[in-house]
Amino acid sequence: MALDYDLSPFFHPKSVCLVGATNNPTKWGFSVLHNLLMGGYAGNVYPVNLKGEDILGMKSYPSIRDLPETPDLAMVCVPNHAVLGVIEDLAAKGGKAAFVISSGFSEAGEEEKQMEREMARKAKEAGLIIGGPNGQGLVSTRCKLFCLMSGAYNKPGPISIVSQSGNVGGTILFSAYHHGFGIGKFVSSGNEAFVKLHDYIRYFGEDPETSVVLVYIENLKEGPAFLDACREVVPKKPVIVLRGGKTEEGASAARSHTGAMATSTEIFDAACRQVGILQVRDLREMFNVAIALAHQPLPAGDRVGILTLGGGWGVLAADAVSQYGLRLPKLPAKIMEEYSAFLPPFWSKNNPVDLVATRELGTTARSLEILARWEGVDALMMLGLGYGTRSVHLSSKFSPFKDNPMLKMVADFVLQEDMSTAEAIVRLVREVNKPFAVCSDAVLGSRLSESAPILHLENHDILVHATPNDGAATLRAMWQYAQIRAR
Amino acid sequence: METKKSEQVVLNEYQAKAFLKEKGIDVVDERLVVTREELSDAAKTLGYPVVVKGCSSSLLHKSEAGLVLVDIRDEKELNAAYDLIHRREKRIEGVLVQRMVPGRREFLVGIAHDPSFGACVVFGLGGVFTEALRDITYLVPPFTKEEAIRQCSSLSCARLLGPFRDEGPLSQEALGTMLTNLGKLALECPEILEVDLNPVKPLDDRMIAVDALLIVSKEFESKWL
Repeated sequence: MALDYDLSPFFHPKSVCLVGATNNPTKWGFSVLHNLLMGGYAGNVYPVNLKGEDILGMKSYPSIRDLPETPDLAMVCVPNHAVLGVIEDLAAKGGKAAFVISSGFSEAGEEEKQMEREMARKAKEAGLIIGGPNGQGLVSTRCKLFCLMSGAYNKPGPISIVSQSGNVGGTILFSAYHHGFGIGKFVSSGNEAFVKLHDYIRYFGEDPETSVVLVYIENLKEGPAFLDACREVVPKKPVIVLRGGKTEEGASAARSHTGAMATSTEIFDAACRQVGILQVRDLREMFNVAIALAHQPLPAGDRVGILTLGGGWGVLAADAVSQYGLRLPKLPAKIMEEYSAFLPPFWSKNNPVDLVATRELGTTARSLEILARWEGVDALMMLGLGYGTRSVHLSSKFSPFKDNPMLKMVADFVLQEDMSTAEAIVRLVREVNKPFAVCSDAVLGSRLSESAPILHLENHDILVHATPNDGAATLRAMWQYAQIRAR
Repeated sequence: METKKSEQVVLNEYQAKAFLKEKGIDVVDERLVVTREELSDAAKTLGYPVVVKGCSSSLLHKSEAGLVLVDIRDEKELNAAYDLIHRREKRIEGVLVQRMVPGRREFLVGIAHDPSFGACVVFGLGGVFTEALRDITYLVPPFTKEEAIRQCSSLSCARLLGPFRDEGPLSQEALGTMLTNLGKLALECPEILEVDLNPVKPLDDRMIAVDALLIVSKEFESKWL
């Protein structure tokens, strides 16, 4: 379906001007320009500053009208009362797009709201698109465009984000950066005076660089348009929504039973179910689910096989799996025999498969492979990876016996075993084409930089969950999307 | 019709059903009568057992006011019901005689308004447990029959859509038709503020609205009646 507006000037501009550029590091006009330069944007950058002084070593221009070329995108950080003039200048110069970071519009009061309307009207007249106002900015990693106050210089990836809060979107950007995952595009949509939430969703839906769309919503102004956009995108790529500000309004005026029972949260939840939007409960779940959907195959069914290196984790995982409506199939005799041939006699003989202890290098990987290749499961959970590595690191730091040759041998074994499991997971995800939810307390209980097996997974686009519950939530969302996709 | 607040108008049950029937919503067969003679004729035409109700736009909850008398089996009971209703409530516009719809399953179907999504269709467990159990879901129009059925199947009361005790499964086709027609109505008629069909009862291949409450804006009358 044709988009209402072409948003490519926001995400693929050949030149950008920053109106309100300044040498004062406490101002947006400094940090946005600074991040734009630091991010490595390759197009032409033009600082615009009333006084025309040099900024961050660059020549600046007193007005957009004075620029040597028409910029594809104008980032606007001037005080609210000056924004209208900037839009007029841009229109006169023949520009296509402005993103207004400046605040003090409809969020501030009635008079400012009028100003916002006037700005949108002017833009429409001139054939310009406007992002914001009161939006924190935007990112497009493919062209290294980081127009944000605080920059996570993410590598390119398949996840794109539209957020009604800059900070919340920033959490995903920084989490992705920290764990080494790529991001496609990000926009903090602000007051959405002109380009709306659903316009961005549609654009990401059509964007070949995006395969997962994340949406943070606080104030849904046009519910039906939002649903229409999601309905278009969902058959092609997952739309993951986190909603804040779940206030109860509108019900108090109702008089019939039906009307009085309706609450905005229930209707929102039902609307998401209706069109196949995946709703998540918090930022961590949003990040986990997004990474998994972006990088792992969808499950063909709801049957989960669990392999654990410790009993309690397996119990928690089994609980979580069934609480999330997934199934835990019993192991058939054939699989039991395969395990009993090499595991110690006291292994769990059940799903979760609890290895209890491993004495031979590669036992965990071998056990995981049997479970993963079994046609009775559609998805896998692996619990306890990195546990041994963490213990070795601690003992090598504090133990007075750390030079004991026997202890060293055990330590080497543990490190190698953990690593071989991590390598097997990376290989198996591709080979068996089933998703893996890897959960490890090493995520909560150790420095990730010291956990080679976990870093190995992250380097291969597999995010490790902190708890069995997190892992089960991810698998549930993947199964939900698999079913939506099959409609 | 009676105007409650300046912008809200309540249609009486008979008016509400007549309007909804025109819009493709299956409603119970009924007659609005004033005299005893009309009452007797109506009951004979419809066939006993019947339900007799006081019909009024000023009373939103008739059952609580004792104005709904069910399972009336003959002329004697009919006359007694007529007298009782008139004794209990003076502000009635007539007496409604309805064919009694058998079956124990009762659903709620309606239209509610949301600040973001506008008019939404509601479906869920009806009858006396509606508020207590809150087993309801919503559909934002426009939607297809498939979407509607899928949405209804997510409820705890979805089990009631299949065979139930000695009653057969309800007609998904009829349910889908009722919900999609209501969805179309919600979009085409923004003057409708709230619709409350409770109970809606399955009977063979039908879903029948037995009671109806329609709250509309004051522009409704000139545009639709």
